[in-house]
Amino acid sequence: MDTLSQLVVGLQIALQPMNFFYCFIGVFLGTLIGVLPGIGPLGGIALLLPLTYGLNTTTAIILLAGIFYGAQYGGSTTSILINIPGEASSIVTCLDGHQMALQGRAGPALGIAAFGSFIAGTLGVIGLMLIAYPLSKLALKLGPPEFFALMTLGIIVVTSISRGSFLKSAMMAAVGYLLSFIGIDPVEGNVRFTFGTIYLTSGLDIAPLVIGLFGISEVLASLEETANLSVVEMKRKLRSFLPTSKDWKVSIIPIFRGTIVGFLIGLIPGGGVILASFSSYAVEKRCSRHPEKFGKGAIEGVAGPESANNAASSACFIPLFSLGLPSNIITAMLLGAMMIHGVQPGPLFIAEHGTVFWGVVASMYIGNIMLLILNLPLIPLWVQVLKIPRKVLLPVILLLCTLGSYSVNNNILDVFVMVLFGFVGYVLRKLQYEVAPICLGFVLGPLTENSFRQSLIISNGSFMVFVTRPITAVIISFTILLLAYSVYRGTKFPGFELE
Amino acid sequence: MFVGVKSLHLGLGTFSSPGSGFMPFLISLITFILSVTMIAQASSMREEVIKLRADALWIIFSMIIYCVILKRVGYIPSSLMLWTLIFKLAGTRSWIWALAQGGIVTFLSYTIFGIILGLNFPVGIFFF
Repeated sequence: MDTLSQLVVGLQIALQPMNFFYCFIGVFLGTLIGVLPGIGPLGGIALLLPLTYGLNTTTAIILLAGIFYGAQYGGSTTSILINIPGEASSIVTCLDGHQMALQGRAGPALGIAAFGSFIAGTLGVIGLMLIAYPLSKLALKLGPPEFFALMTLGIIVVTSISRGSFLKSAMMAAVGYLLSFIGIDPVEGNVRFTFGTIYLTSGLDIAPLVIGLFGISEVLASLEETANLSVVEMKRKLRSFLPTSKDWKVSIIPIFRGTIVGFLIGLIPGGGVILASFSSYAVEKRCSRHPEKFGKGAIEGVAGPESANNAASSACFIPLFSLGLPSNIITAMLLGAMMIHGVQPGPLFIAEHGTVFWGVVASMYIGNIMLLILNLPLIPLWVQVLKIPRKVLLPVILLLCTLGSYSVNNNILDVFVMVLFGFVGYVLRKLQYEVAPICLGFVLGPLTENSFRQSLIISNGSFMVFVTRPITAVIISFTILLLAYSVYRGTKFPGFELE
Repeated sequence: MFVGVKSLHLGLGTFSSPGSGFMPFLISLITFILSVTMIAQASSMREEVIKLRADALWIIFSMIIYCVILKRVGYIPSSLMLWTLIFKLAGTRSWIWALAQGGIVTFLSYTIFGIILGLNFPVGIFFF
């Protein structure tokens, strides 16, 4: 069947009442999570993952994917109205979006963010549809050494672009790998690092770990911020959100440029929505005839990055679906979710689970339309949500975290693990360690170990297997160069810091 | 170092047939090198004191106690105690108001997650 007929089948699946309903729930909750500073799509997916266990695989992935791209829409609302990014990819939107709001132009800023997100999200899904399948066919020719090289590149990129010290991020990634070794060795079946407990035999669950590191530690860190959020007042009529023709004229090229930048970055292992929005902002500033206006309310500074993060959120699914490689922490979480649902993403995924793939792709088109229709009229509601006092919001988030962890296995030990990692995450934040590499290391650990051991087995113990195969050699060389450069620079990957 | 030693016990195998301890040993070695580098770096830096908030520690402590007593005491009484305390720690001024909020949250969570979504909460000695 050709792509178009596959898409029609996908639309039939996505439009089934149950899938349509969960797509709506996913994008709605995603937007809410994006609006609320602190939780983020990763924590949101981790919280809701246990609730998807009773759903069929397609419906569950539609819901979880909806949270991811829905959060990209919602994050801009908080950035523009209160100057606090609801989601990490919306950090750059604060710079010009909030300035626009202070100048009485919150409506056009929110409007262009929503329209840009829609255009980029839809184009991103078209790219996903066109690239994922051919790439999965190509991926069948890749062996364990290539996969090992790609995963190593992914973890090095994530470590390099993390905020703060490279050394600290590398340490966190290593801790994530070590945690992933707990449980049964997938090759020989030996039990490792369980201290004789039955609970650890099947390894640590990803949901309590992520909820603890992100959700609980965020709540604990938020206790230090006593003031409630101050929201910029704005007109609430729908017409006030529509950008003027002048706004469109200035923004349309940045939207398409942001889409291309975001899409390409989303494809790179280790690239992701945050890197995409920062890169797009840098590109827009460089391309602008009036770079001095950036940071003072330039609408291009909202249109470009908001488009880029949505394009990247669609592109991220390409390496996940075609190669089985998560290119960032959120897709790593989705990979874990898919494996829990009995689906192994990778070169055979589209061939073996075509209905899941096309159903999810089609749901993304529908989800993007839902987000555009819902988002602008719902902005007054999101403003009210932002006005909920912290003393009420924080315990409620804590409750959801607790129930989310408990519902994984109906086991209180999962809550204990969550609390433990919550405390660890809180201390690490205080010491300015990034916790995100722990999660990526945790998910990539078993996959990296498998491909590394398989590579050595097929090469009869020769490490030359990583050098003699052309694709592996290129990726490994690039990884080593990036690693050397990151170590040389001492702290950060260049080019993505705000001036 | 602990993981490294444990990995040796698991067996490193050979390069042509790596054992269960091979990869953990490799990662523990990397972690060890990173740790030594960080210690070396830290020794030349100014000492900074990190302050952890007392209310954050109280929340962690109360949640650990919650994990210990949940099975014995049951979901409703232990959750009521936990959420009342957490609402108070989060900034609610009076204990009565915190108790009311804790009660509402416990009731709603039990109804939504326990009854509607069918989560199996421990019943404990009070049978609820």
